[in-house]
Amino acid sequence: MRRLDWEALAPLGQDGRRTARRIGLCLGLSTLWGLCQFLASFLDARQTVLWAARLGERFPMPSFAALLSRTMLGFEILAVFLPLAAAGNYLSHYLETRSIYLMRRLPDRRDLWRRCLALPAAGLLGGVVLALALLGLFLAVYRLCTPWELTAGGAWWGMQ
Amino acid sequence: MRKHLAVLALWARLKLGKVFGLLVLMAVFEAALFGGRLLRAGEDPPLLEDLLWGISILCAATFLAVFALLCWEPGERRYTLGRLSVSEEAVVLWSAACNSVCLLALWAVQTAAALALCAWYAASLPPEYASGQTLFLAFYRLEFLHGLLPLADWGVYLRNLFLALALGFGAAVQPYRYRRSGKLPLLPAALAAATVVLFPQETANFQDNLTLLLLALLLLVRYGGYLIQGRRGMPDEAA
Amino acid sequence: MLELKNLYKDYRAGHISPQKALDGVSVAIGPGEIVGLFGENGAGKTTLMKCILGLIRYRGEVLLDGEPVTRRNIARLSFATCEHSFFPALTAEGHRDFYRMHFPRWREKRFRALLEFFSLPANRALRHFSTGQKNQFEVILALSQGADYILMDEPFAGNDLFNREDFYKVLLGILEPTETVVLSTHLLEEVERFVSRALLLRRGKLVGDASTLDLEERGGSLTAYVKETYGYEPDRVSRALDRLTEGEEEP
Repeated sequence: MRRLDWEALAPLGQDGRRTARRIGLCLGLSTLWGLCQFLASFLDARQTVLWAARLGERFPMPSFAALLSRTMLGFEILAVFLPLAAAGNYLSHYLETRSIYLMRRLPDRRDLWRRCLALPAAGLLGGVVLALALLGLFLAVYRLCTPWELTAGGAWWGMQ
Repeated sequence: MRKHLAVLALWARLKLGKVFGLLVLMAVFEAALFGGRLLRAGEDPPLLEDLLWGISILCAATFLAVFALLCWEPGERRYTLGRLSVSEEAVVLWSAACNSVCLLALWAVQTAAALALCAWYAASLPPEYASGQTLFLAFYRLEFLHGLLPLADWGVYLRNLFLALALGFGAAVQPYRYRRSGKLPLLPAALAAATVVLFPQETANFQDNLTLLLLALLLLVRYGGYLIQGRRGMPDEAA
Repeated sequence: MLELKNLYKDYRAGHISPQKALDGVSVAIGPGEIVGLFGENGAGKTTLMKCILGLIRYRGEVLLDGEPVTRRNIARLSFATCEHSFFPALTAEGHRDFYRMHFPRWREKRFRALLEFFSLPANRALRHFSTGQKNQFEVILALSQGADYILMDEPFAGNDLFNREDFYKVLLGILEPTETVVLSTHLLEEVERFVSRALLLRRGKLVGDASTLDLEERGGSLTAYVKETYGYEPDRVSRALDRLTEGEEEP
């Protein structure tokens, strides 16, 4: 399998591999944040409900949507930041010199756009995939670890 | 003092006009969007949330455009800035002051626009739906409005002020840092992105405020360090 | 053959009414010519070059051997500008690798030779070069691309006289018979001996087109031709000084 040429995915002079690593790190931190946030909310809510049940009180589990609050924060921030980074990549061709003149007269017109957009787009796509995977995981945890009778109205996703 | 004011006047001339233009455009588009939906609404009064949909996006887009304008400084200015009787670092600080004023102006204009639009909405409601509390409740209930005008939530006022200072400073230091090191710092853009996402403020939610304040503090400390390093005449990384 | 047919370009930004940068310029430049493009500041020289390269929008036609300039034939044009179009964070070697990837007719031998001739470091980021070195490297890239038409926009700003003289000699020595150079410069007296044709622009219009050989045969010089075409008044300075000193008391 051909090794990926990281340098061809970033503006010339920028370390493509380092940029990719940073994006990967941000995605990893966003995933970790989401996991911790959801687990903390879920376990806290579950604990409250079970304690209430032991005391004879009927206290329904918060809905799945309510427990998702702020779990996707990292991905949301990346979703705003990465397009800014792509714009920054393009504008970097106007800083110090006008390397835009060279990029715009290349026979391969895709090279400029590849260098500006590839890594931010990959980051966005990775963010979407990870966010969806996390949502699936959270749903599975909510469904499997919440006693049916404790969900509001018995609806499996706990929506009010 | 006159020399410093001359530098401030320079930045004001370069930036204020363009920022003001963007704010006017933002207000006009928001009024058109809001008014269009309000006037097209049927017999049942529409929800304020539905009418405000899109306003927050326009606000975010304007904020990013203003921030990009404040960061952008093409051309080789170091030779000019380095020959002034005012230090380059002082020039950066005055630029930061001007930038913060621009961001505070954005906050003020958006708040005024939101108030006007909500007052228009309240005036259009049938008497049985409106009360003296309609606006007051809207600015507590709706996160975007609460972020703009937090009423008694003083922590949010401080947050907004601190953000304006930090983002203004970050935008001013960015070209300075690039001139000296050849590297484009990412922290100001990251803080701007976080601001867009976390600005709408849920009542009594302190976690988001804390996140923003920590990022802003990190930026101020880190970039303040660059300025101090520059002032002490430490060698440029690019040399 | 590089043909420009009725080129018009207006600039609107910052002006109340559009400013004409190019006003119906038509000219044909053949292979092997060394063309000097002259004109006062704001005459339209840079705009003309940018139109040829498709870097700005214009009205009219630019044809390369009868075909419009597209991605298929744009590699036949190269550009060296005083604004510099290289990447400041990249080294000379890095640029060489990039150019080789994108321009199949890259001239490796010429690149190495010119780099050595001007003693430019191969592995130092270009932002650490002096202004003169940056100019030299910009021109080296344009000459080594393998283009048939090499456009140079005031490439010598900041280079010393000896450097420029050496450069003209090297250029005349290395250019192939089919390579064409279009050189925009204010250094009229220096390039007089080495251009074969002069194009004069004034306020966006082509006001002069002369072969230096014809001028020589008529006993004239390029400088005299330019002055005549521009309507240069030699006593302008003395008249202005007289007006300035009129009525002043004797010390």
